[in-house]
Amino acid sequence: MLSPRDIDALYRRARGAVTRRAQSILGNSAEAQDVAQEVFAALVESPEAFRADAAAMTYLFALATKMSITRLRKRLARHEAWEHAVGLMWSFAIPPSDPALLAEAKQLVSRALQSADDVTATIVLGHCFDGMNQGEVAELVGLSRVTVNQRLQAFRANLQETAS
Amino acid sequence: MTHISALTWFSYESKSLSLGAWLGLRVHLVRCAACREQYRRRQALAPLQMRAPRTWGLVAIAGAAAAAAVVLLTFTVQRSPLGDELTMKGSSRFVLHQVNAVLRGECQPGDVLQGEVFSSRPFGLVILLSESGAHQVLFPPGGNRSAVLKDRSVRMPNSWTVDREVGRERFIALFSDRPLVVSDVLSALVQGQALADVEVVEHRCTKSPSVPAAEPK
Repeated sequence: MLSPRDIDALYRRARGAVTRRAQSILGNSAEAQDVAQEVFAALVESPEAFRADAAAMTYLFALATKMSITRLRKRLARHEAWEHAVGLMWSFAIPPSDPALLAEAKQLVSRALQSADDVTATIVLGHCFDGMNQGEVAELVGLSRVTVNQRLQAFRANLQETAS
Repeated sequence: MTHISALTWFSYESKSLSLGAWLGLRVHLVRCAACREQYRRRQALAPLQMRAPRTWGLVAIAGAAAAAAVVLLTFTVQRSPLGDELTMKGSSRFVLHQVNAVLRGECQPGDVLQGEVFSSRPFGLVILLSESGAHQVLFPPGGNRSAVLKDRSVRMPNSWTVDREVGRERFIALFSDRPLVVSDVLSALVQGQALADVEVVEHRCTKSPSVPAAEPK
């Protein structure tokens, strides 16, 4: 469990990085600042939620990602501008050089943000957008590499079925 | 070539990488143009450290003598009914930051606060109004008219130190397409009149004495 002093130290060290993570998903500074405040407010309210076996920064990254996805979904549910929002996100990523792979990655990310559960959305985002390897994604969501791979393949297959 | 992942950037920017990982990242940046470009783009994002600007305390606008030994503040954010119906659903924002400390929704005397406004409207004004009716123009500092918002997101240049006066204070941010005169705004605020085509976002701050914990028996 995190002590108030631990949280203060985390805040001083990582507030900027949390804000940048949120901004890379949300596309604007104001909402990113809101999310950063919410992340640390959540730590203050529920310090016991931090798993002692997880690296603190991985936990913060996961929390910032989850809260940013939630905020993005709320905003886009009103405005229905998914394509534009996802397009903005890609300016912070290094896209695959193969156009077919890039198109697939964008479609997977867009669909995952719109309709997948939080864990699957984080897995898809981590794999297709964040450039993370399976080990990093597994640590982020607290699942095994095998399970991460299974969920990713299942989501991909479901998307292909829906498209055909 | 494997590029730098978002999690690695996060660890780098929060100074959490091991020395070996940090060196590896720096070497990779020398070799990889795509990651150097990504590094450049990330510099345009939010700053990693919040710089505490020059601080000056709030003028003792309440005019009352200091009361309790410890004062707690609680902030609630709302869209003020002073905005008209159309602007009640506006997208302008007024965010309060606690400088170099965790924002808990409660503050202590001596904490330093700073505001940030975000709006697509060209004019912005932030006023602090106390229960007694005394006021202070926070943005533009000490001004008598609204400021021009050249950028959609503006961090207010000043900060202020929370004092010990008990009571209620309202941090009121107003955003509009036309310049606002402070005296007109204050008149409307005091009389509770709606301001046409003005978005209003408030942080209502309640300062109350703390109740000392009971002594164990």
